Amino acid sequence: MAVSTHCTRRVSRRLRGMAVSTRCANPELMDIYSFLIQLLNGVQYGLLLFLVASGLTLIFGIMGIINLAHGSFYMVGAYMAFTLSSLTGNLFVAIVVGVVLSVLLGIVLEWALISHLYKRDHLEQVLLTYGLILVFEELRSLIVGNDVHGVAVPAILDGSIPLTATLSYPVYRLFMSAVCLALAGLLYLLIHRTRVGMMIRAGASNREMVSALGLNITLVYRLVFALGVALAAFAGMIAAPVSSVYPEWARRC
Amino acid sequence: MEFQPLLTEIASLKPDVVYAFFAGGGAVKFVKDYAAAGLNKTIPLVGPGFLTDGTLEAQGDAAQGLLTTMHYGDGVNNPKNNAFRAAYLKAFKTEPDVYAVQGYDAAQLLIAGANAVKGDMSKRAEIVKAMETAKIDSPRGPFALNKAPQPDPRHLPAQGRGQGEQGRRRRGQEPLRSAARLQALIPRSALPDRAIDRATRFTIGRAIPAIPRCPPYPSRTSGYGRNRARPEVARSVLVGWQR
Repeated sequence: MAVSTHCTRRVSRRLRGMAVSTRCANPELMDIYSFLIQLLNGVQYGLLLFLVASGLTLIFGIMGIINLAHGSFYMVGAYMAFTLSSLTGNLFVAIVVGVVLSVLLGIVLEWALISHLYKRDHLEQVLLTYGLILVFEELRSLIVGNDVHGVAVPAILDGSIPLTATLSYPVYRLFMSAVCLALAGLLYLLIHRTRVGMMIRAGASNREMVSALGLNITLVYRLVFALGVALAAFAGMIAAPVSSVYPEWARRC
Repeated sequence: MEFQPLLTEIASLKPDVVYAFFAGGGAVKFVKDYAAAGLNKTIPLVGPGFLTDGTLEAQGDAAQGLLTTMHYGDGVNNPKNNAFRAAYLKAFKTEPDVYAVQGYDAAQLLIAGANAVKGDMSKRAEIVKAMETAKIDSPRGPFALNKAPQPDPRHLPAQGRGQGEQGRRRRGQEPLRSAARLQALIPRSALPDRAIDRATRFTIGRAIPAIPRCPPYPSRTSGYGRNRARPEVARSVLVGWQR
């Protein structure tokens, strides 16, 4: 391959003591095949980031809440995937149970804390949600401990597709991409094509007016927040098998 | 932290071996991704023991066939280590790692010193002398301090002793070559179970001074974080691969 012959030449020149640059991964020498694989890597990672970010944008875009603790919900998801899949022995069951639990978590958090922030300014939201990060980190430490964990890829998706002689692409990553795309479609349908979506959009533009029309805006906001939390947790659960589940996961996001 | 682009580069460079230094979460992810990308079938992954220290369980089958080196490994199979691990797990509800073993060894050394003076810690010279002559029964194998004074595994199991080139020549035996030599030099008990199967397939090649390193990516990338360890791909290394 073009890259490797180029590098070998550079190395042998260095061995003879000639002053050459240490840079040898010249992007121009990357062949088209490697480029396509890297493109696939980029798109796949981008889709995962979309999934993580979708809940954040939902909460900020519709409710105007700056949620710094979003990474914590992502972490909660990953740890739920680990705990529930070791309890049930099946990642898919774990995901279903985990989504239900995270919706409940979102409802409780919105009722207890977030609902008091709508009329306050962004700095106070930052303060509260930053505090939540610390609380979730400590809870994680108390409940699950500080060890590094891994979640096994479900057997049905544990294959890989050979791309080159040396490299193959894990089927699970393709599955992740498909899930992200499906979720993007579902979110679009929910927000733009359903009655609930209409209420959400109306609430985003004028909370008081929606309330005056007799709609329960408090409930709508509660559901939106729960949906945001569930999306983050879902992203964490989907990403857990290709990542490691470890402390400070939240702060890396 | 996303390794896919690096793994793609590794695959296109086709190095003899990949040496990667990761610990904790990064180690788990890299080892799993490396195996998921199928690279472990053609390019052996080696690294310091931190790659597997405390992370083996999380890595699962992806760690199969890894070759790592350190002064302790989870899977050291001797009665002392098995007892130590069981007792540690019972006392602390967590698996011991290399630091736990280091602490345990250091404490044993201190106890040897303190016992020699019956707890009178003012007798400094005697304590030091007792520690220098103490034989420590460590989970990683018995050792005593040498003149340096550094831990010296001079009480290695018999299979590891006198199997070097000098020893065998002295006895008029042909020096062991390659895989057989590595097997003889490293007591099996010192290797984690998972490493053994594949370790025997390694062979010691010719050492090349100052391994030239060829970064497979621009040296100033920002996407992975400045302080994040990245896999270094050596093109010529000490170990070769024998099928």
